[in-house]
Amino acid sequence: MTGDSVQAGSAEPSHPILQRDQTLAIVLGASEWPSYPDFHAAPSFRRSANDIVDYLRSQNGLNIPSRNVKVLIDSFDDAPELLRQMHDFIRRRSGDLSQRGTPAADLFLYYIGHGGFGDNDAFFLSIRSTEEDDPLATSITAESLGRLIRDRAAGLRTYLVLDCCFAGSASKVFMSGGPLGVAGAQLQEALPLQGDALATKAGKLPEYGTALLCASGSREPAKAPPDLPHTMFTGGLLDVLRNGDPRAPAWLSLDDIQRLVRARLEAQFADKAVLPQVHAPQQRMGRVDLVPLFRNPARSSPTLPVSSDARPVSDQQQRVAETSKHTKALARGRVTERWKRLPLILTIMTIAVVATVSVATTFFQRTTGVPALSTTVPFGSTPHNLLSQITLEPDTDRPGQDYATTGAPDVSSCQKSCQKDEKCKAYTYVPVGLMFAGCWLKNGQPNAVHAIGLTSGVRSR
Amino acid sequence: MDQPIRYTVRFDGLEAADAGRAAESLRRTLQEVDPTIRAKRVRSDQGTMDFGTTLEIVLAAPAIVELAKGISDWLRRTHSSKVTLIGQDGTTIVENISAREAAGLAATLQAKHDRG
Repeated sequence: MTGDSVQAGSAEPSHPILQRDQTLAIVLGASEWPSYPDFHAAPSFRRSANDIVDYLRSQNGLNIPSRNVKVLIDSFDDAPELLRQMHDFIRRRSGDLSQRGTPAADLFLYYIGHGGFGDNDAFFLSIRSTEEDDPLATSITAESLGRLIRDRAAGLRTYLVLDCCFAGSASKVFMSGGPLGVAGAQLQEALPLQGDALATKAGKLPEYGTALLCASGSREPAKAPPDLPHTMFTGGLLDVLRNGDPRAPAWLSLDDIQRLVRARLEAQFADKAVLPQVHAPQQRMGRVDLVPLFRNPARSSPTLPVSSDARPVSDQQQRVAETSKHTKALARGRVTERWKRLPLILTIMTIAVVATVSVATTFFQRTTGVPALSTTVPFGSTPHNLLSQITLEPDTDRPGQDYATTGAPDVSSCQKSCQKDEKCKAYTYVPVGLMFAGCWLKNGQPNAVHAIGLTSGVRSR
Repeated sequence: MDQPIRYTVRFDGLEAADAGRAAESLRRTLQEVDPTIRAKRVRSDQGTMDFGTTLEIVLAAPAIVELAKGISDWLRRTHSSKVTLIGQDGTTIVENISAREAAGLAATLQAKHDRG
């Protein structure tokens, strides 16, 4: 990493999600276009790409092994050859990793260059061999990039970072297969969730999916002012990755990064700032843009609790604090959304159970002449105590009123943390592997909602 | 031999994304109408990461009629579009013309060229 601001960390915490050996990365783009005279060589593009590569490989960054990183910056190859190389890289590395029993799980793809539209509205990305006479045919189309992801990275969590004009346009191609595909995806979203998809929606880490972090929206230009060392967006991105923010979560998702970069660029460039966007075009298996990926260097120990006394001291910090809160609320919203229908389902189940017992009892009495034993159905059983004062409610969330979070390793520790602190009136434990894992201590007793995998409890007086 | 004639085509009032689409679409139309017309997209701001929202056109005098035809055809096909043509001396030749107003474009360009 060229950044002098990278913090030296001798005892880096292990990443909660990424396995460095199972993570692949591709860095693609150009900083010179000899066949497109209007595009002058842009050293800031090259520097941006190089520093992203450094971050991906660096111990202070994602620490991805070099063999898992494919760099295709300023390649002399044409678009079909570059696409072939990317296909081969993902296929070869995925195959190798699968053979070792550690299959690839995550893919980063960063692009930097000029983005534009063909006359057929196709969105494309310039490469070194892009030609002025036919830029669409000599560049990499977003469609072909989408096909690459769909074909080669279907089972991976894929994170695309696009630093070019109109970058938000690329999200359309990930809606899969044209209008019919979009309609199909919408239909799928409308249908009730089942199996793994249900568990994922309830907070489990998405096993696959795609998220895009874009330098600009689908109609706005991205910028590379000549007096800056990096492009505007990647400069902001590197700043956030290298320096973090003390008020942001310990591990930052693409969604967190987008908000932080946007806040920094707005603070630095005011109304001239590019406005990054994040897109999660496929959410059936959960939102990949909310997966915590990047270590926040400003948080010295990612497992330290956030004190309730820590108040934002500036507008930017306020936004950051809201970001964290908002992200958590989003996750919780997803957990609870599907359970809004729970009362109806429970009522139907109750009627069914009572009816079945009643019929069975009558049948038993009529056939044997023996009165049936009275049965108590433990339906909606009350929480049972594990500790003297703090209850334990399996598969329950109590969203809101958080005043601290700790990195408790299990439910029991979380209960104890709450018991020890007089201020703690309730807790929710989110196990490792789910988003926002940890022990959330609460200064009130918010209402309980059903949430698979989460455990809550209240202090009983 | 006549000096080449240069024009700049702007798509005023359109956002950058739409102006870029329009520039690419008109560029290809002109290539099809007359391959001797050279049209290339340029960026008005070198600090943006796009392909340009303005067209620079270079042609020989006899191709003026074809240029006017190409622009008119394109305006008819993309009926909501409007273009502004700037001469090589920087003067505006036509401003925000639509398909309906493009009928007399060839005469306007020819007259402007003849006046020199």
